[in-house]
Amino acid sequence: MPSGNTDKRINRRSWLKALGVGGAAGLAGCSGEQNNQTTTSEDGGGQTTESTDSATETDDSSGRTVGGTYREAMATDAKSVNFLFHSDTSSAKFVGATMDFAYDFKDFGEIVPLWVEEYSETDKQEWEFTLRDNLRWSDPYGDLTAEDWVYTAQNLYGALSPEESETKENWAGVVQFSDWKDLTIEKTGTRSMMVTLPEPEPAFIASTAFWGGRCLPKDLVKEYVDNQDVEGLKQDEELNSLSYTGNLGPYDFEEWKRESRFVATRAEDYYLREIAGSEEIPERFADAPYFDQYELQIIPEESTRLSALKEGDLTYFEDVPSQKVEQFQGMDHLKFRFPPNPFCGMAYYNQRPNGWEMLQNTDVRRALSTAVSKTAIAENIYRGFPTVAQTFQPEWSPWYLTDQVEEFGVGDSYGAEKARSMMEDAISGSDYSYDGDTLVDGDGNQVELTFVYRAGSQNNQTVAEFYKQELAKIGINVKPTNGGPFNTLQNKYLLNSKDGGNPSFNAGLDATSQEPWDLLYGVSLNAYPINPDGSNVFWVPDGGFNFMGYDPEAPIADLYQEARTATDDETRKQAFAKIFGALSEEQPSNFLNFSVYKNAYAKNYMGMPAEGEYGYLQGWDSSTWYLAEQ
Amino acid sequence: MKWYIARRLAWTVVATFIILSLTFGLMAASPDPQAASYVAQQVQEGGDFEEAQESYERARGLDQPLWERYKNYMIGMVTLDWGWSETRSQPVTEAILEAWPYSVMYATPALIISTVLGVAIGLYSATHRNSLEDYAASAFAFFGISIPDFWFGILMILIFGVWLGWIPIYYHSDVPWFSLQNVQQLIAPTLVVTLSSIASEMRFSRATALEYVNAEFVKTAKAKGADSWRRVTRHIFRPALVPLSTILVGDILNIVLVSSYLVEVVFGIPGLGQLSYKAIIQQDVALVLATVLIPTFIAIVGNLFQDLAYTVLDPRISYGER
Amino acid sequence: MMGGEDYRDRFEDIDWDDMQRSGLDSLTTQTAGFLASLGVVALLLVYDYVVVANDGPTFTTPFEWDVTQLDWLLVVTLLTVVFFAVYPLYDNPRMSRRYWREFRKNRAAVVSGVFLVGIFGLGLVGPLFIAKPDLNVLAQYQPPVFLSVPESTVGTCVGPVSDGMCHGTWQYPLGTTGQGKGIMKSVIYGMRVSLEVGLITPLIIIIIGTAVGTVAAYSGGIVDELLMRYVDIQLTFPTFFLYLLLLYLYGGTLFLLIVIFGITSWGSTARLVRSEALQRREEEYIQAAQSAGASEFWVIRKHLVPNVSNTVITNASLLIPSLILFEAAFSFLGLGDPTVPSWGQVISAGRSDIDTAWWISTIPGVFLFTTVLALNFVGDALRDALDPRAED
Repeated sequence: MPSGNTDKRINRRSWLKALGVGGAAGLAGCSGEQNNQTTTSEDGGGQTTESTDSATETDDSSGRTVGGTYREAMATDAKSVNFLFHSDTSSAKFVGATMDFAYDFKDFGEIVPLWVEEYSETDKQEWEFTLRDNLRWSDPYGDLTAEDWVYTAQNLYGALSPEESETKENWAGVVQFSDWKDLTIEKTGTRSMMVTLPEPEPAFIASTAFWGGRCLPKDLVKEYVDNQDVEGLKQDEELNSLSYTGNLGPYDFEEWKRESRFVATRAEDYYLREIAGSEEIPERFADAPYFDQYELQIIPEESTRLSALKEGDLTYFEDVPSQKVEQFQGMDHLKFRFPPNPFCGMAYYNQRPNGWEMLQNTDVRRALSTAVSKTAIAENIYRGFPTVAQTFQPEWSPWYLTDQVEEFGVGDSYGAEKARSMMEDAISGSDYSYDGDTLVDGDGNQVELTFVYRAGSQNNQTVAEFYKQELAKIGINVKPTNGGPFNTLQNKYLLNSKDGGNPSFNAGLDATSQEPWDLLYGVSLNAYPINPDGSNVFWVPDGGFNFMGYDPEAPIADLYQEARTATDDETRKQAFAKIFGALSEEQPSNFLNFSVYKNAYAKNYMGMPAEGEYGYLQGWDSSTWYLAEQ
Repeated sequence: MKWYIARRLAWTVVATFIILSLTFGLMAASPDPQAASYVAQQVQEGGDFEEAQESYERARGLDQPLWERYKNYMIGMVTLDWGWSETRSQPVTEAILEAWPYSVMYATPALIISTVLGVAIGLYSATHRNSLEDYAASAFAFFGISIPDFWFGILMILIFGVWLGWIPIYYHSDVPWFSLQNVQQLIAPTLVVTLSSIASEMRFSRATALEYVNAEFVKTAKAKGADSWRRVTRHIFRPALVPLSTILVGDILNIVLVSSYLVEVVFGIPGLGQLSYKAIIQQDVALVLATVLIPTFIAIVGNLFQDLAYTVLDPRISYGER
Repeated sequence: MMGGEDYRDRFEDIDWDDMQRSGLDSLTTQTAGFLASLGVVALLLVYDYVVVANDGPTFTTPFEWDVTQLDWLLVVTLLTVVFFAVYPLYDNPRMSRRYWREFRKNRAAVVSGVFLVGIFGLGLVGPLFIAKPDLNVLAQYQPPVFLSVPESTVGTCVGPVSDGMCHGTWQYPLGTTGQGKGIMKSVIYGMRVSLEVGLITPLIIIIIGTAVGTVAAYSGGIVDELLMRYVDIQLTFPTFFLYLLLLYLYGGTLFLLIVIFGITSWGSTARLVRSEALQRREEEYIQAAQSAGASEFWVIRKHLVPNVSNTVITNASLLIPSLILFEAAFSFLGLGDPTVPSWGQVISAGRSDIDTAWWISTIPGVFLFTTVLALNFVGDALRDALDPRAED
């Protein structure tokens, strides 16, 4: 995985996973797909509203025959199929083929019950989940019951039992820990369990504890738990060959040849087949999945992957590079879908003491954002595939209220002259001034900003150079700087510390990173439109991931608290709208764009929503997609 | 002689130890990309930075003192317990066992062809200096050495795979090893590696042979009526073998350390090159240490044989008294 | 930052009496000239780092040139080449004429030589007068002049469009990359990079490798043993890995790449020189020199080094192109310096586009290929010409 491109992929993927959506929701076919343009207004993170849009499913099981091989090419291999320890997208995809999870979303607020049949809540604080009764592990582990789930949660994920109150230690270093550490779980029946939250949380259902959540057979892990044996847990043969998955997923694990391919075969007894035809699980699941074999081919070199797609070797190709889409669209054996994606590409402003001092001034940041054309970046660098962003929420999100959001970098709100006059206003009274066409400091030297970008993607560098051109028009010299791959970037620029203390992403607003920087690009964050609660870690002053040192003028922390605990949807909606409005006004970073996936499918691969209707989350039923007779 | 070999073998052990220690040191010094993304993820989900870091380290055994870890690794290396690959979720020994046949499958034919053909052409060029054939051979060699491996590989896939459909576009690891299909899919990588190593064989054999073409003993042989075949094989080839053996070891190493990365990445072959490249990129400590062992052995053992070859091929050099 | 200090140390270290006694009169002028030039460079270096304001260009007249670390190294390398390759030729016209006669025999090499002078001359001078290739998001994937591609390939066509085909323009004679950077400019900058990689690295390698190889062969015993065992380790140690580590720690720069390859890849050269020298050591002229009371330094300098020079030059002739290719391979693996428009970088950036925008990878590919080819021909001819035993 040599190329820059692949590197980018890994990182982007691990971010995707990072916030749960992509990784967890990685159902067989497609992971992390996103939404529709419709923005069906009224709905919080709750349950009620039906979106008008996702109804375009073709629900006839006629024409579906089981057969053939599903083949997809991936750039990177999975690290593990032991989902306790790895959650990169490839790993999640491998696991996802053999195991479903608690439930999925098919749209905002609309749940697809998978392992969990139903749930109920009391005061938004106590949530009870009931498992289906036809879930079976492989022999000898018997049925999947609440006992398994509660045991896994309490002993591996760090959830508390009702008698415990102190946060547990993440002894095995599992990835699920941050989701579960504050939750209390107890068994209330053979198949039901109750989760108690520390405080009411209306959108708990959209947090990643259960959404995309799984458990393990108690008898399988008990020995390791009793001995606190991390090595054993990590190296257990069954956990590493998915041989315990019973009827819990559409396919059964067959082979994983490292750096080459992953193969799974059609499960004989997929539990959803028995339920097909019910209200939530349509008839078309009756014979799902519709492939005999499921094959993921690992091909690190992008040009080789694309050649395979061109040759018709693949059923599906996730995210064709923008420059190639038009060419591949012209091919008879392929068709495309463009589901939106909740990752926001941003140029962060360093508001810490080791950035340009004026970046702490909101008006300066606003002027800078005005000087850069988002349209040009979206259209010319990314070939028109992403949509322009204005705040940390895509336009299609229910939390995005147009009247609250202030626009920058598009139409009238873009322009060097406008930016220049805004900058002049912003710097009046400071040591800075314009000397002819250049912005100079007190000593008469031109202002120079260091623009750090993450290595691995040519587009990141292109954006940096584009910034240089744009800001040159308002007299600022930008120095594009290669920040290295993600871990280097993290160590040098994202982690900050104060007085030689331990570094973290936010060690106080006056802590500084190892190397100075002014602007940073190449770290996209998930805006999490299903439930933006978690995004407070980026924007509140003591937020764990507020590495840019943003100190909001608006009471953002309070608003987040309000949104998180508000029991009625309207209050919640208003609170979020205010947050995202304030973010657009204060420009802690320049929100550049939300990208879309450019997914290619074999022409006779059917069942996915039509073009233009393929929205966020619509991969939920991908196990019912099929190959049409040719 | 025996004493010499024994000493060299002992050295092999020492050198391996030194190299492993150096590698371990470097690994310990470099930031771990997996830790970085694990921690970043946990923090974004609302976890605590230090806690996340600690639990990561605990789960990987990184919370032990450096010396302790070093000791464990070294003992593991000796007892053939090479540890667990975190990025592949399998024992390191298994990873290597799985990968090496794929590399051998294209590297062996490539090496044999390039050596035999390279030396033959080189000798021919030397004895027919400045002839049309010499130029043609040079041009061929230069072509091989001038064309970037990866670029050539991509071109081959495009031309013979996509346009002409003669070879598969990527390597199918499910094909039986001893089948026509496997041969078919190995042709392109073999050719790429052969071309890139044949040039150096050729250049060197030509250069070395040239020194002997006009040597007195060759002239004498000619005067005594030895035909040109005999002169080339007996009088030129033999002394030329000494420096040539140098390049052979270097060549194998070059394939192991450089070509295999590029070729395996381009063709998607799950061999040793990809294994060690990925291990290094992802800083999979156990796997890196083990894959570093492979070139180490090849180099050290290869060099030993080469030194011994000196004494056999060139009686003027002797290690007897040393 | 090859400090001028290193060289000054060396200046003092040289035992002039010893040199005089050895009768190295011609070497004195040569070395003195070399050291004097180095002194000038050192002064300029000090000027650049002390006097010139941070990040400001070092020179503004007659052209603006912000001298980088690599440029300094290149200057030093060029000086070395001038004083130790060009000057001796000038100084010894009879030998030069003989070399030239030999060299001339190989017509391909002469043509290659001319080509290389052109390429490297342009690489040396071009970047001083031509601006770095500039990003232009409105001119991506433009075809070279006289050629055309379907409009779907290019984002916005700079030239005329007819029948859905975008035509190239003189604004970008060789077309543009996916970033809208002119390939012509990239190629010229790439020449500079190749010049740097192809000159600085081998020079470091040759100097260290020859020194170690001859000393090991001549001294034998424990010195030989130690040096060669060190070479064993260095040869086996994955340099690649070391580079990767430094890349993580300091970011990948061309300077780092060149220096690391220079100081870690002389092993095979040393080994080769040693094996050659081992044979030479047994020859009579060495024994004769020894019995005549020549010092160790003298024997190595005057008898061993010149006699292994053909091996060294043959080796270097393979080394230079392979180093240039190495840089390309690193770029291919995504480990190169993304800010340096090397040929490898451009090839690698365009490799996924090879079927629609073939020119991006192919044009620098052709330059890379022909340059390497030319280097090989020249190296080959040089070897023949320099061989002291070659008969007319």
